[in-house]
Amino acid sequence: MRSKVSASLTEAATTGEPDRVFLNLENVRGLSDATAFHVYVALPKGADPAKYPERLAGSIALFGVRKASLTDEEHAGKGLTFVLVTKIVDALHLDNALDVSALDVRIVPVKPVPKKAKISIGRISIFRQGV
Amino acid sequence: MLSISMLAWIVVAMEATGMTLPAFCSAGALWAAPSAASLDLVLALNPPASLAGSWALMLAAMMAPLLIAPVRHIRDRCFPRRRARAVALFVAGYAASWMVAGAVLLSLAFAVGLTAPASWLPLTAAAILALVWQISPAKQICLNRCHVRPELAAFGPAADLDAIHFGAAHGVWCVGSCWTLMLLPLLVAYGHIAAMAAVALWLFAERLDRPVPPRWSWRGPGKAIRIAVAQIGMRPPRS
Repeated sequence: MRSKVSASLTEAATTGEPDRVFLNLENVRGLSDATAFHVYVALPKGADPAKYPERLAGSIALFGVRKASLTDEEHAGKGLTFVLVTKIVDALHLDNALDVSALDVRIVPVKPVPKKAKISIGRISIFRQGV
Repeated sequence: MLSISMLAWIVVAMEATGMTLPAFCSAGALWAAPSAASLDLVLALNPPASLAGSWALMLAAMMAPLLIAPVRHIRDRCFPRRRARAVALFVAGYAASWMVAGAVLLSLAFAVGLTAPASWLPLTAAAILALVWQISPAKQICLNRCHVRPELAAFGPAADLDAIHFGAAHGVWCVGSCWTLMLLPLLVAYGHIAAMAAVALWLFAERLDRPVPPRWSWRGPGKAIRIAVAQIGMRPPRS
């Protein structure tokens, strides 16, 4: 995928639209529905997220996460899955700041999350889809 | 998965109508005289390897449709180059669980056949057991776990282990959900394939229902029936 994204973005710079890149947050589980997060991509180390709004991929609210985390309820404990479409990867490529082998994803709570909320994310994945 | 199931059903049907019955079907004819000698004869005519093959064939026919959703879960979360491998590992883990269960169920079926040959009592008892299990909270717990879709690692040995673990765990809960119903075709004296088909259809249909909190209550293929009724209702009236 890494080389394909780079190739796609390079080609798109001259011929057309780049591939779409999806950021998936899979199997998000927890006990508190009243929780929200901002999701940032490729923030510099130690940087204050608020100073990089262009790196904000999206925001997610975990409404319904408690019920979705219960094995004996409708979601069978799978939790919630969020899909964010991000153009940040294309922007990073245009800025020559894209390191496809190490794309940092930072998840920042909108308000402090208590430990008893036990929020967990099963997998964070990035997919590309050719246009 | 449906193609595999169809192929397995064709092989099962060919064996039933052709020269050789599946091993555990033909064994029923040998239970006329229960004794140590008849046990030896049953084992001589149905060697463990043959029984394992027949059981695997039965699993492929009956269970492959149940694996459509979990296999899709794996395929959607794997890189294309790893898909076949991950699915194979999942199926291996799943089959391992069922092969162990098969050893127990087949042993039980043979033991029942040797101790109570040509009797309807074992089948009746198994049907009552299946009915009680069907309405029990334990069955619902197993059914709910069959809907679990865990996160899977994308790379390296962790990805392989996750696929095997998912398959084995799915198999264990599937055994827990289906074992009483799977016992029924092993105990019928006649119409083995029809019983297999009926049980397979039931298992597939009840798996369509969503998880609910476990409690004592009747559970059946409610969603499948609603779909069937809706399909019939949507047919255009005849002119």
